[in-house]
Amino acid sequence: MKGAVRCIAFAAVVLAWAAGAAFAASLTEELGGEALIREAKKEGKVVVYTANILSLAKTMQTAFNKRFPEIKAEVVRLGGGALHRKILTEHSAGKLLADVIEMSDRGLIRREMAAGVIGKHTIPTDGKYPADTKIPGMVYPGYTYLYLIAYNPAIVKNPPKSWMDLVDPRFRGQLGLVPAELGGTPWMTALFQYQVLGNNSDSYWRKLAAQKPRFFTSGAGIGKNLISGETPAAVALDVVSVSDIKKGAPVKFVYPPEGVVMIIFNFSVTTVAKNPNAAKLWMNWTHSREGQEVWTKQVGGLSPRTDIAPPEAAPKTVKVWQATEEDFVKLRDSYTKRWNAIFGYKP
Amino acid sequence: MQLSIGGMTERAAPRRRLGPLLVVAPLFAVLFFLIPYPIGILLLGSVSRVEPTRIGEALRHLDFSYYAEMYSSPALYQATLNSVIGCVGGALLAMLTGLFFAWVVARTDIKGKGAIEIIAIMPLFISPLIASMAWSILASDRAGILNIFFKDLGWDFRLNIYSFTGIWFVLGVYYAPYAYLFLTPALRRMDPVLEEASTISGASTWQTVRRVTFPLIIHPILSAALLVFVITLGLFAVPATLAVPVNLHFLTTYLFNLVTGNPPAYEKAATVSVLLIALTFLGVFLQRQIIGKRSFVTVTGKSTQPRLLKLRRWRPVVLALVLLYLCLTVVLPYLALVLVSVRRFMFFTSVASIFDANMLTTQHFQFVWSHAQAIRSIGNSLYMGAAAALAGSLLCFLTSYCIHRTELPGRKSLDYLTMIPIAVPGLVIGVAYLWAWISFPVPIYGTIWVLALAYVARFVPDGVRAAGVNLLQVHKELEESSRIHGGSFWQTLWRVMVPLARPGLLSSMLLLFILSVRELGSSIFLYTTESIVLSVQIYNQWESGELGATAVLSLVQTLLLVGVVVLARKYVMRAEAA
Repeated sequence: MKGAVRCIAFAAVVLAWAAGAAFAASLTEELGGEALIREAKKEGKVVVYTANILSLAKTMQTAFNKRFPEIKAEVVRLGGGALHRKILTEHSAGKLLADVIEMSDRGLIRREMAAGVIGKHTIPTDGKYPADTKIPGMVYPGYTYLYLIAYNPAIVKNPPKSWMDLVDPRFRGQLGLVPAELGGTPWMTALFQYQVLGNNSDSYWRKLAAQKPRFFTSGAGIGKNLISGETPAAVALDVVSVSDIKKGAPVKFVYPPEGVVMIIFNFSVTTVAKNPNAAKLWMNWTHSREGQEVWTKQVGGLSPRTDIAPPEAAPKTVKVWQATEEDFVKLRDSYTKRWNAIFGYKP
Repeated sequence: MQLSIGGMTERAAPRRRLGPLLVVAPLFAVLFFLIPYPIGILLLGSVSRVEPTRIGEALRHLDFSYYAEMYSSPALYQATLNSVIGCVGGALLAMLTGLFFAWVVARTDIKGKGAIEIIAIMPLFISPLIASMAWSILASDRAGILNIFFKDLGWDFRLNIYSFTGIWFVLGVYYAPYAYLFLTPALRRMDPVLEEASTISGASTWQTVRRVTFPLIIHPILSAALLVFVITLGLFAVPATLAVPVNLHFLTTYLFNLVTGNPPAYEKAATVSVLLIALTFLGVFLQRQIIGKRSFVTVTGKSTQPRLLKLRRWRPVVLALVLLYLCLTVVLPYLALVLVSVRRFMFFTSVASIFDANMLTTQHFQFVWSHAQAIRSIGNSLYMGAAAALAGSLLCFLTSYCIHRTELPGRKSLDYLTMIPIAVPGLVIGVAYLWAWISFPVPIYGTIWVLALAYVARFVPDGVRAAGVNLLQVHKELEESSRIHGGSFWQTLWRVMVPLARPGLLSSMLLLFILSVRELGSSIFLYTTESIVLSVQIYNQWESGELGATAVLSLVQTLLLVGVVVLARKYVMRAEAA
């Protein structure tokens, strides 16, 4: 097995969290000290380019602005692939406005590093983040996403219980997904389906393609169609439509027994940041206990930090899967090409 | 007296020659960089292994393998076929709808023609992006609001906007105004004598329509259909919203995918652009051929009023059809957008749940208000629309003046230069501009100006034609009299031509403004975070699933356009009255 299948018992995480909290550093320390905050306030602004779902990115932005009313955080959102392209084009024209970049695709981040976009910054909470989730001194995991099955319970009366259920004929023409090549998250999900569900073959891809799924250009776009019932079930993120779900929107999640795909959202400052201190502060704050708890409590997502409790709605135990970075980067082009051919995606 | 006039003309002569030359040379330069340069770079890029902006080197490394690769790809054939099927169907429906309105307005005795004329052109103010998004809310197969109605009524009938039929419908109703504007003058100009002769000879109304009227207007009809075909062929928004979700690709969405892939395949995109240009050019060429024939058949020098058909008991039917059109193009889509903008989320179990007051919210308005990029995009659109309108109309006016009112060498070439963009879809202009300006020594790419330049380039043909019509209405005598009295080229232009042509200038500015604010095809390639415009912001939000905020911004765009048009009309009318 190339990917690492890990079983996280959330109860244990909760214990670790309780212990960790006792030794928690003060917020100011986690934020990088008074001097940085002062300088950041002088800059007064931070521009964040993110591939995160816009409403969730705005939840983080609002919480940051509440903590630092003097620093106006501005969020620019595009799907992963489109964002990467925008970053490189703007950078080559000397017009990159981003102070901070947030993307799920480590492969694309590596390309941005090669293009000289990614700057250096070590967050004060570096030690709290597991070694395999970060590139120390440069890239840190802001949030954790799970890719799983979502459905509309008002439409789907017999919901899928596993990934294998999803390829049952009853879901033919009912599914939505994001094509593998359009971003880091869908690509890793496709890799999971290939390596785990297909047992290192394209058999699961073929079964899923036979369901004639509807294609979406980003994970965020699936949400509105799930809610309306236009797409009754989908391969989706655990945080899709969460703000609507809180208001009663009919979307439920399934944590399939075969495992869910865990995706780390990579954060970094840029080399061309116009607000370098505010950029560092954004990095430090989002990775601080306070920032992480906004993600877990207000958004309902998971934290990559082991000392932060998971959200209440998450199940007690979940089998999570992550691709190795080597596979993720190396296999990408050839596999997504094959995926396109099997799914008949992209002319 | 004679001496003094002679003296003045003699003194003015050198200035008169120099003045126009000073205009023509910069005009050529500006138009060159606006149109042939980027398109030339695009063409060169499609046949070179080297970055085409390094022209000399690119020419030494010619290579046609991109064409060989792309033009043997079945996917490109499929996309071409889809484009042709989608746009031919759309064009036919638009032509029929436009013909209906043209016929009602020009040839029937229906009352309230003023209102009907407004209804017929109303969709021009609605961007195709907003139209197709609104219709996907109304008629998506499983969750469309209209389908919920049908379900509640116990009908099995369901609409599905994500299909060729859906695309034909949206193109057909929203592009009907182009056909209408084209066909109405033709129907009005028709010589009634022929029809009268037919009736006197004993033919029934239907026989007259079939044997006399129809053959007389077949050329304008075909021409209108081709016009719509050419316009819709280059359209990105409609297939992107209604075809791509069901994995149906048109040439434009195919091109978009090539440019937006990682890494972008500009060279391949350039070969697809060439195909799009060729198809558009063919359409334009055929249309011109047909117009040529038509003008000899139906236009007569006589001032005649075609006889009006008495509708009698058919009047309610015609009125119902007009109102149905209004409902389909304006009322239903905007009701849907208003509903989405004030509802928490869009899930309906029944018709009653659509009107659930508990679901009302202002959150989407607050969301947009607190989203700096959305607010910036509104400002940018207004700014850029105004800049394109001002610079564009000035450029078009000067160009048109040189073409129609001077004997300068090269004025014909100017005319041809301004016609090029007719055959170049907006998306292709976007790709060409991206490629041509990104490594240009003057840092234009990434600024707000590259968008304004692209808009001007895209809409130069419309602007120059509008200015031309306008200028031709001003009699030459007025201009000559200014010259005879010693007015220089500039004085004549500024003191005589501009004031006389002002109402026309203002309406051509208005046209450019509307077209620019609605524009998506070029903007989507050229915007940066700082220069993002409203239509791109709307598209990005739609793509991100922020439905409520998308609806809010769509309403904002429509209100802006309507507001500006109402204000401008008021101003123009006041100026004319004065």
